[in-house]
Amino acid sequence: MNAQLQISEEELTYWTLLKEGEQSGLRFFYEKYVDDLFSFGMGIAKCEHQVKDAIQEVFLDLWKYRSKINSSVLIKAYLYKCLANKLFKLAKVDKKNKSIHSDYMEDWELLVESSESKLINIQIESHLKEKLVKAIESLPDRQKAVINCLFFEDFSYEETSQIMNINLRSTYTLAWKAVGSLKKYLS
Amino acid sequence: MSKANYTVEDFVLDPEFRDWIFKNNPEARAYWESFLQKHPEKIKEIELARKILIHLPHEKKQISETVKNDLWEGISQKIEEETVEQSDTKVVNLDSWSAIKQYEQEQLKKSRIAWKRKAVAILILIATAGFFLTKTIQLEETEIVSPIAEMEVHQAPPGVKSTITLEDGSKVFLNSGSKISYAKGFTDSLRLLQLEGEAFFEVAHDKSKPFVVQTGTITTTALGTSFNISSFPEESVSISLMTGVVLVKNGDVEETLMPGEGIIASIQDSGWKKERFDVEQVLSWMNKTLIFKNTPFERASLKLENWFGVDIVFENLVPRDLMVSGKFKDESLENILKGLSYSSRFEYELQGKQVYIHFKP
Repeated sequence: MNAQLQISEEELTYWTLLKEGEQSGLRFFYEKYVDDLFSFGMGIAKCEHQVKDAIQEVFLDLWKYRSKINSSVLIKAYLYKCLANKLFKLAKVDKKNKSIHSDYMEDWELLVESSESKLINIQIESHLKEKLVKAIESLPDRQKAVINCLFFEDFSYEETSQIMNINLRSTYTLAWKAVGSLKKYLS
Repeated sequence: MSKANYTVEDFVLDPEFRDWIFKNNPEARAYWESFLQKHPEKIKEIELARKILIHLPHEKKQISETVKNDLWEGISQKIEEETVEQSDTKVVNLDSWSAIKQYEQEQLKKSRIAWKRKAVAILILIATAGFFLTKTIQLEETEIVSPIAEMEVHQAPPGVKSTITLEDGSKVFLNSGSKISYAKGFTDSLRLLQLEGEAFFEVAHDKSKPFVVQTGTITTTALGTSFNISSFPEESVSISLMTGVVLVKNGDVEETLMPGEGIIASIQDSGWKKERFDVEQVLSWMNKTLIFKNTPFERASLKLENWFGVDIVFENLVPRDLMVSGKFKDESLENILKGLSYSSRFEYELQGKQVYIHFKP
């Protein structure tokens, strides 16, 4: 499962370019990960503008601190971690101010893809899927983010705990609680 | 925790369990089938865990290309603003102390820049010296060493790209239809390679052994840098430097390149021109991207033949002055042909490794 997370030669080349201060290096990582980051961010924040701003900040930070980041860092996990950090911080401020963000739905389309698309010959019961859509929607943000990391982005528990900035034990607990609620919806 | 005490949650969260459900690989299958046999009381839990896993919905929220581009423009603009700000921030001194500190800093900066200049100058000197050194050694060695030296040859056939790590740790990314060859173990004094086609070099630093790439009569000498060389038959040789310093030489003419600078040498005469290059375009092949910019149709078709390992047959004459433009990222041959056929007005037929092209009247 981790094979695809290993840094490729191609990434290494662009990483070198980025470190040299070439914008094309940054552009490469932007093009490669912006879709996944956006989808992941929307799972946490809901408000499209917040997510877009946060993504901009993440890449500006990457540019600013490019010389200080170790080359051995897995860039994908690093980007997810930065984005999650920013969005969770924003969520805290939001709660304090009790401000309500309106949901802008203009620019993105919702695409429900279930993990079964990887499989052949598995009978899918659509009513179960509908139930699980609702179940996932009702999960607290942090639980949802952990589920996203583990099941859809194929991050390991260690990587997920780094992204979420919590220890391994708490990562497992969050995931356990999330699966527990999903189970309730099905039984 | 023993898996005998697993709850539904534990099964769902066990990566090996997911491997069984989603990938069904032999080891996982063997393991879980024997588990079922030993713990039939767990069947209900396993069934529910599987149900949850295979029905888990993944909400993918997408952004449109325009939004993506706008977002990038924003990032790029901010980066540029910051660079400008950095270079001309005016400081108003509030008191004597800050004024002293400011001039102190500027002095420091100046001496740093001067140091950098010196370092680059020294590098060039070393590169040049290394080059002349290698030239003399080369002459001696061709007489003595070459008959017995074992040659190492790496080749990427048309349609395939490959990456090679050399003995000294340098990396070579070979484009389709390209070849490098060098004497095994290199020699004591230099790392000499011959290149046909296109490759990107990331040279491991070793001041004592200059890294020399030969393409026809042109040699490119480096110490520890990264650069791209394209030298396909019947095409001009182009050398593009990403980092470090290289020295390019053809006969008596030589040129030192700094990062961002490139050389395009014509094949008709021995002349060349030095110019800044587009990094994205030069390195596009490593990114599985084909870029045509007002490329003559015949040249573009050669590129396609090499890229996909096919033969393109023209059933009638290629219209004179036909140029193509387009950028294809990780596209299939069929899709590229389809794209080009509209603008260039032709019909095509794919038969195995043969492509037949017929221009419409």
